[in-house]
Amino acid sequence: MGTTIKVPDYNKNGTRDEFADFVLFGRDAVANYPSDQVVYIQNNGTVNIFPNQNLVGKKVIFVEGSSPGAGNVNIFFDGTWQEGEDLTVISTGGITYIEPLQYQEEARLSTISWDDYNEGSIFRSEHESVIYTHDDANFVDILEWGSTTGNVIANNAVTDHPSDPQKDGISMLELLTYEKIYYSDRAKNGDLPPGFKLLSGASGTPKLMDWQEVQ
Amino acid sequence: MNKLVVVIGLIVLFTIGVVLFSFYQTRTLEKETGIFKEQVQNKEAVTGQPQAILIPAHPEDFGMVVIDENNRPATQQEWDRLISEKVRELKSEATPETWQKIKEKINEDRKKTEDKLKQIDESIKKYKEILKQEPNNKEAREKIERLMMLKSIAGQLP
Repeated sequence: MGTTIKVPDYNKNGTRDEFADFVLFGRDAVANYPSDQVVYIQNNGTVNIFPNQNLVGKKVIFVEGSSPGAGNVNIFFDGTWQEGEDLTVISTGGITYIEPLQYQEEARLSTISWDDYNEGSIFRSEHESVIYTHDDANFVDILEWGSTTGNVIANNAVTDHPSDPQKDGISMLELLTYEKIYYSDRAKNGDLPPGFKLLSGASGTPKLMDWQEVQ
Repeated sequence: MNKLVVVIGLIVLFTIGVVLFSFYQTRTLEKETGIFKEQVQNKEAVTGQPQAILIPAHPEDFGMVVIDENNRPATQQEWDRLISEKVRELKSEATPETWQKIKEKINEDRKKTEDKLKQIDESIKKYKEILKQEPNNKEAREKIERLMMLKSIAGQLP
């Protein structure tokens, strides 16, 4: 996997161990909130999350696998979400978001994953989110129109396919209708989702969110 | 003097036994649950501040379902079972207004949904054929799973 922006040397050991740095980032994202606002899970399987009352008020869920690509997450529709929810799911594997149904005002569910981000829907889907993936973002099973308000940052574009930079990164294959993405830069107004502050370049040192907008 | 040596020897042997037993128990627990027993503490965290001790939670306590990589749902029925149970729980938690809103959006065009379900079935068939030819094709396997999950959702939501 080649990425355009490297995970900074968070553990300060001077070596190119990006995954170890990513894990450290996830742990720190959890540690930055009171324990009743986070869920820290260590598991190498696939964790299926059904946003429910138990997760109301949570800020960060970090699913940590013991190797790159382990600790996958499936998130299923979040119709029971309440207004003002602002949760970030972090995974050392991939994240699949099935049927986002966020009809509540100001409710956000953002994701940060080491592996791919995949989204699929069969009904009209809506969600507000910032999506960061260290690999590819695939909007590949959208069978009804969907809309995402926020940002999609897929960090695996150019270096993996130098001859065809369009090949991956953000892919919208096999869409039967269309996916609308409304650009809303929460980094600019300082309204970052939980955990993203640690990825942001606001402190002056290069970080994962120092991306360039596509013109 | 000899008795003292024997007693000390027994104490040493007992201590080694306890340590070995505890080590074995920890490894067995990790193997069975996938949960690492160690508490995580990173002194040099991203922020440069000493990090709090993180104790891994049990996903089940938050209504999550963990699937072991070697025991993933392989059929539509297995996905339906997993998802229907959870949707039932969520239904009881959602406010009537929220559920009504979801219902309206979903039932906008039932005919269209039926058509999409047929498309899903065709796609599943197509990717199962691919998987038959290439059993290690990870992309095809993941594609089938996503489509099955979507089909389950369509069957369980109002």
